[in-house]
Amino acid sequence: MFDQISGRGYGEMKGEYYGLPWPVWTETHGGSPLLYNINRSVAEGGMGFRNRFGLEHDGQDLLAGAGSAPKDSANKDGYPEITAKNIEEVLGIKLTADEKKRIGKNWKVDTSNIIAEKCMQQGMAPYGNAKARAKVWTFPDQIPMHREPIHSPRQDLVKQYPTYEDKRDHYRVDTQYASKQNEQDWSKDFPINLVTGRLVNMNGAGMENRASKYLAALTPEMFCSINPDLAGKYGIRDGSMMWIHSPEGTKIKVKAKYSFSVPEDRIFMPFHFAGHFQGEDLSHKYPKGTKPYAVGESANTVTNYGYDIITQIPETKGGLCRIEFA
Amino acid sequence: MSENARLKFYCDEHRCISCDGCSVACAEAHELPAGINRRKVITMNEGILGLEYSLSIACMHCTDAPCEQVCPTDCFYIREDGIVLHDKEKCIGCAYCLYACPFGAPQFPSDGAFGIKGVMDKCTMCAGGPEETNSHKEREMYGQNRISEGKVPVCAAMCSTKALLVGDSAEISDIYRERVLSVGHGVKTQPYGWSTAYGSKI
Ligand code: SF4
Ligand code: SF4
Ligand code: SF4
Repeated sequence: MFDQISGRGYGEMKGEYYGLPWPVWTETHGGSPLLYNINRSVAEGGMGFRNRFGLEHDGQDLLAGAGSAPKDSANKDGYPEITAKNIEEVLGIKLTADEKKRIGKNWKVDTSNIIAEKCMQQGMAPYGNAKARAKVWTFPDQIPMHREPIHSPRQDLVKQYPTYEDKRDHYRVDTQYASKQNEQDWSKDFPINLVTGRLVNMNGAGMENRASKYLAALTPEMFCSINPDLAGKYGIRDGSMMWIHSPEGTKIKVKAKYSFSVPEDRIFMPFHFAGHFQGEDLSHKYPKGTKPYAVGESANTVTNYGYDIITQIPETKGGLCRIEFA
Repeated sequence: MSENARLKFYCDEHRCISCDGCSVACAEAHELPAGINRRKVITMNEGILGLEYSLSIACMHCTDAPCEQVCPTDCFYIREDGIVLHDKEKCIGCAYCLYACPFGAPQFPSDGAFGIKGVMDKCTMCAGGPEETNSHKEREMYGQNRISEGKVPVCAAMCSTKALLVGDSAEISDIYRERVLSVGHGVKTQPYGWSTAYGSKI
């Protein structure tokens, strides 16, 4: 009933898309499967970019260029999001007195759905047809650019691509950037890159799935993936224990797992474990009946200081560490 | 499914991402005791560029099944659709089948011959066992019987990359042929990821 590739319905399902992808503009609309597709009319699931950031910025028109409206659009060019005020002008229609009475203020709050219904008749998107924004003028880097992590293994890159200035009151926390990065050459004492992440079989969860015995059986122990060439320099054997020290002054004790998936300049650790802290098994402290099937050191004990400049999400991929045989 | 169908597995090494969705789904669905791996995912040459691959392996339901031939109590039987099953009430847990099996499929619970899943345990292709179909006893001894309900075995149903296929061997090979022939014919003819899965540079 649905084409495997486009998701478009056929036969009885003609006019529908598999799963009714958002936005479904009206009760008879079949859904819009692609974020941007101007080769199809809006009524059939096509759309341009939403008019989301105003009409103009720094003298630049933010609406889409002439002739770039989705197929079969009454208005061939860019147009703003539709409101009760502009609908007649933008769509080129006349509302009846009754429609004028029932219509909502704009497409987002129009419970009468008159705006969407009229838009479908004209082949136009209720949220407008605007340019995509590649420049975010509310961000410190309006266009993404490289900045070295606070704890970088490369001082030359720190000079070339320094981090941000410290940020006061960042979600109520005074947050360090440059002052931390320049405090010392971190790579001297902590020469190895530290990367943490998720294991593919733990998709969707961090620590929680340690309460599934079958998932716990796949990786019953906390480990550190390490390239044999790096491990060999420190006398660390496959399966032996190793210490990982962080610039924060913390350390964890984990089992080394030889792996060629990590190059010689870094180690990798999964973040799915808890219960041990700096070499000590604290799992007896779990409330009765809640101890997970698998316990071990938490990788986050040694991830380094560093927070995202916008969201304050902690830095878990760009850190440094020092390792030793345990 | 044709009348002469022989049910087979096929795991596509170009697609398998070693997520273990199949093996965990199997263990959950049949409530297997810890340590019984009806299905296992193996990764070879981990991290070595160009040489790494993963495969999901269970009982392959051999046409000329060596396990059946060597069993001293003759506990194996092969259904008309090719599914190889065994009778746990006859099985003595001697592990001869494990010697004979080319895939390491037979599993033996560590909690003795009288653990809940009995003596030897292996993939049933989700078809239960010799007990009355969908009875409590069948479920306890052999796990779910999904085949009797017209359902796909749970491992293949779970596989998000569709690496693991199960069904009539003729249909499985058709699907694989179609995948191979699709290589290099542009994104519009292929769902997302096919070009990656089959190594073309388009
Ligand atoms: S247990 Fe082994 S030998 Fe027997 S049918 Fe399965 S794969 Fe073949
Ligand atoms: S077919 Fe059923 S029993 Fe066999 S491996 Fe798959 S889920 Fe497990
Ligand atoms: S579910 Fe599919 S992709 Fe995942 S390990 Fe099994 S066969 Fe491979």
